[in-house]
Amino acid sequence: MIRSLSPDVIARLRDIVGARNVISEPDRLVVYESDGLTAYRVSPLAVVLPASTEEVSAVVSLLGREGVAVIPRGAGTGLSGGALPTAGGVVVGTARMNRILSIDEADRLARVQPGVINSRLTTATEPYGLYYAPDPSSQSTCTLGGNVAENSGGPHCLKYGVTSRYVTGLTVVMGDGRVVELGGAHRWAAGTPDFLGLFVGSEGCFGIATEIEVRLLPLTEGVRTILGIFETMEAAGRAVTEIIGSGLMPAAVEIVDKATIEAVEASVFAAGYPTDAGAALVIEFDGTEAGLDEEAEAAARCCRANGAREIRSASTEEERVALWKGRKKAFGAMGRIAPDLLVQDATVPRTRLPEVLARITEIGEEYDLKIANVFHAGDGNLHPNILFDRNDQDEVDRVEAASKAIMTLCVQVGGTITGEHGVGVDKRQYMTLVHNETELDMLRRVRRVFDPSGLLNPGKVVPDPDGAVA
Amino acid sequence: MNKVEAIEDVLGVEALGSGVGLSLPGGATPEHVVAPRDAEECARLMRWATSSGIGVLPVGVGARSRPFESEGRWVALSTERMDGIETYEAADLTLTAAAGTPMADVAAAMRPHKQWAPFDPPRVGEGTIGGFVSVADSGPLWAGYGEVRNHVLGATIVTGDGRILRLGGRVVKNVAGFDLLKLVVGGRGSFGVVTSVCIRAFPEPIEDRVLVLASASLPELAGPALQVATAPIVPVSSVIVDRLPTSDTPGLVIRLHGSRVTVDADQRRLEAHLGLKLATIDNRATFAAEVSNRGASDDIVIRVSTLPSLLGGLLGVVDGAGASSVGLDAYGARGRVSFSESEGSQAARFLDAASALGATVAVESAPHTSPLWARADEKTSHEAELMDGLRRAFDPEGVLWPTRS
Repeated sequence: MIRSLSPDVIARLRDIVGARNVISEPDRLVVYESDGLTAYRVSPLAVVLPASTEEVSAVVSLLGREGVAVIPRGAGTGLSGGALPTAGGVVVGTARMNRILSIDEADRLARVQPGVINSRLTTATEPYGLYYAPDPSSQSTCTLGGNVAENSGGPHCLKYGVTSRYVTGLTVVMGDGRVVELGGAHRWAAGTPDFLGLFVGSEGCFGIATEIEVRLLPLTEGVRTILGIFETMEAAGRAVTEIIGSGLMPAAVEIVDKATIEAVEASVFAAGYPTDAGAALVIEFDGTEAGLDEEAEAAARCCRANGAREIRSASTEEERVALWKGRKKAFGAMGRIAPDLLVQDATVPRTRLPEVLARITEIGEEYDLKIANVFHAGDGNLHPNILFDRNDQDEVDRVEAASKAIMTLCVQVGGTITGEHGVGVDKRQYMTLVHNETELDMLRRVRRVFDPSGLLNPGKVVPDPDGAVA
Repeated sequence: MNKVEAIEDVLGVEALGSGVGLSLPGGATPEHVVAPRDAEECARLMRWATSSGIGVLPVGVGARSRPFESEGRWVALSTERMDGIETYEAADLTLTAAAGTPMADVAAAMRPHKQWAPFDPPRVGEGTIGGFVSVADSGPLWAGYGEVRNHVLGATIVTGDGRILRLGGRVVKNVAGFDLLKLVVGGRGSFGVVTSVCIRAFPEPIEDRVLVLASASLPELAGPALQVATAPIVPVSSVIVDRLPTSDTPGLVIRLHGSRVTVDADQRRLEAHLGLKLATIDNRATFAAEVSNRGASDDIVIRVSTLPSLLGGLLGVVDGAGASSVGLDAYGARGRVSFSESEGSQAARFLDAASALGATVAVESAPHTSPLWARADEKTSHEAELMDGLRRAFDPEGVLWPTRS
C-alpha cells in the first residue's frame, strides 16, 4: 500500500487540474473519508477534482503509472460505501464536472457531465416539456454520474424503470486512462452486445463516466395520489399485491410502517398520519389526465378490500406534497430517535412482502433493535432501517447480526441483497448469499477485462478469492 | 472412443441426433446435433468439447440466420429438449422457462391470466424464449414498454468451458454485482449457452388501439413521424411501413394502450398535436403483426438506426433504394429495410447512402455467399477489444462459435 503521494506526483496532479483542485491537507480530507454510509471511514491520500474528460484521463493515467488506486466519487450520497476511499488511494471527484452539455428537444436526449445533480436535469428540461425519470430519494443532491455507477432507482421507477433504461450512451475513462465511447442513441443497428448496460451499475470498478447521454420523457399531464391507512403491514402488503396484480400500473407505491409513522409524527416533519396506524401506503398514478380518477379509485378499492381503514386523496399539489411528506421525510425524522441509522436495501418477490415484513419485525425483537421500514413496495424493494448508537459496540454487533439475518431471509424467499443501493463495501460480505464461487470468479474476470490493473475502486463489490471482504 | 461414442458417454444416446435436416444458412451441416436436457448436461457437453478441442455452435432450434463455416471439428447444440415453463408466478408478474420453450407457449401460458410479454420483433411468435433473449430485439413496442434487456430478470447460462452461471434472479430490481445478464441478453450466444430465462410479464392493456395515417410516399411521413416522436404522449409504438396491410400505400401506424378513457384522450391529444384525424383499424391483432414483420421479409435484410430528427433524410434514401419491404420505428428511428434481389447491389448502395447520412447500418440477413456479410455489425475498435476480452473470460478456449472472430 502506498502511504503518501510524492511531491512530484502532487505537483503533476496540480498541473493537470489546477492547484486549488488537488486537496491533500488532512483537515480538508475529512469530508471525503466516507460517503452516505458513515459506519466506514478511511482517509484518502488526496482528492483530485478534474473538470473535463481530458483531465480525468490524464489524472487516471498518472495515478495508474504510479500504482495508486482511484476512487471515483460523485456527491457521496451512496449508502453502500461505494465511494469509501481505499487506504493509499486517491479520490477523483466529479463535483466540477457539472455542466449540462446539450438538450436535444427533437430527439428527447440530453448530454451531461457526471457531476450534474439529478433533479437539476429535470429543472433544466422542464421548459422543453421534458423530464428525466429516475428519481432516487437523494435526487436533490446525488449526481447523475453516481446514478450511473449505482444504476439508481427511486419511487417512480416502479412504472418508469431504473437508470439503465435511460442511459443511451457514455464517454468513459478506462482504468488505463483511455477514453472510450459506449452505446449511443443512434447505434441500435450496430448489433454489438450491451456493453453500456454492463457498465451501468459497475460501481466505479470499470471506469469513470465523464459524459452521459440520457433519454428524456415528456412531462405527464396529470397526477393522482392517495394514501391508504392500514392496521397492519401485512394488510398493506396484500393491498400492494392486489393493486399490481389487477393490471393497474401506478407510478409509485410506497409503504411506511408504524415505527416510521411514529418517528415522523413526533418530528418537525409531522405529516398528519395517524400514530395508531400499522402502516401507510402512498399510491400515485400519473399520465393522461383522463382516466387517472378511475385508476386511483380502483387502487382505493383494492386498499379497502384488504382492510384499509381510511383513504385520503390529494386534489391539489399542496395536498399531494402533504400525503408524500410522511414518506419523504422519514429518514430525517429518524435522526430524532437514534443517533445512527443503517439504511438497508434488499428486494423480494412482491407476493412475499407480508411474510418478509412479519419476519423482519421478529428479527428486530430477537436482536433487541428498533427497525423502521420505509420502502418501494410496488417492486418489492425493502428498506429496513435499523436504528442504533455507534458508540454502543454491543448494539453495533447486533445491528450487523440482524442485517445478515434480514439479507439471508430475503435471499431465501427468492430475493436479493440489494435492489438499488449497490454492493460497495457494505454488501460484499453478503455476495456469497446470492453468488457461488464460480459466479464470483466470473465477476472478477469481467472486472479485469475493463481494468486489468485492478486500481479502479478496489475492495468493492466482489469479495476477494480468499473470502476477504474488509 | 469416437465422437459419437464420446457424446453418448457424456449425455446419453437420446441427446444425439444427426445433422441431417438442420439447415444452417451458409450450407453448413453439422456432423452431429447434440440436445442436452438441462444446464447440467449442457455443462458436461461444454467441458467435454473443451477438453476434446471440438467446437460447439449453439443453434437454438435452428432458426438462426448468420452464415457459419468451420474447417475444424464441431457439433451443433440444440435447445429443443430444454422445453417447458418452469415457474409462472402470475401475481408477481414473472415467468421462468427453459431456453427451448416456444414463445407461443409462453404467450399461451400468460393469456389466461390476462398477461403478456410486450415485445413485437418480426416473427416473435415463431421462435423460442432462449433465441428471443439471445437476440433481444424488442420491436417497436419498446417505446411504451422498454427494451427486452430491461425485462429479462434472470438467466442460467453455461459458459464455453462448462461453468454454470445463474445471473440475475426473479425480482425487478437487482444490483447485486456487475450486471453480466446484460451481456447475455442480446449476446447471440457469444458468452454462453442460455438454458433458462426469467422474464417479466405485463398486464394486458384494457384497450389496444391501432391508428393509421396513410401517405402517398415514405418521405411525406417524415414530418408526422417526428411530430409523433415529440408528442406530449408516448404511443406504445409508432411504425413507418412502405405498405399498409389494408392498402398498397406507405403509412404511419400508431398503437395506444391503456384504459378506454385514457386511450380516447390520448388519441384526441395526438390528433390535436398532428392537426389531423387518424383512421382506426378494426382487426388490430393481424394488422399489428403484419406491421411488425415489415422490413424483415426478404432475402436481404438491413438493420438501420439514426436519430428521430434525422429520419427525414433516411426516409429519402430508403425511398429511392428499391427496397422490397420497409419497417421503421418512428420513435426510435430504427428498423429494417429488405431487398428481394439476390446479388445485393441495391442493398450495398443503400448501406453506403445511409452510412453517408450518419446512420448506423448492419446486415441482418443475406444469401450465405454474399459479400454483404462483411457489414454484419459495426463495432468500434474499443468495442471489438471489449468483445475479445469478454469472450476470453466466458470461453477461454474459444469453444463457442468456433470460427467467429
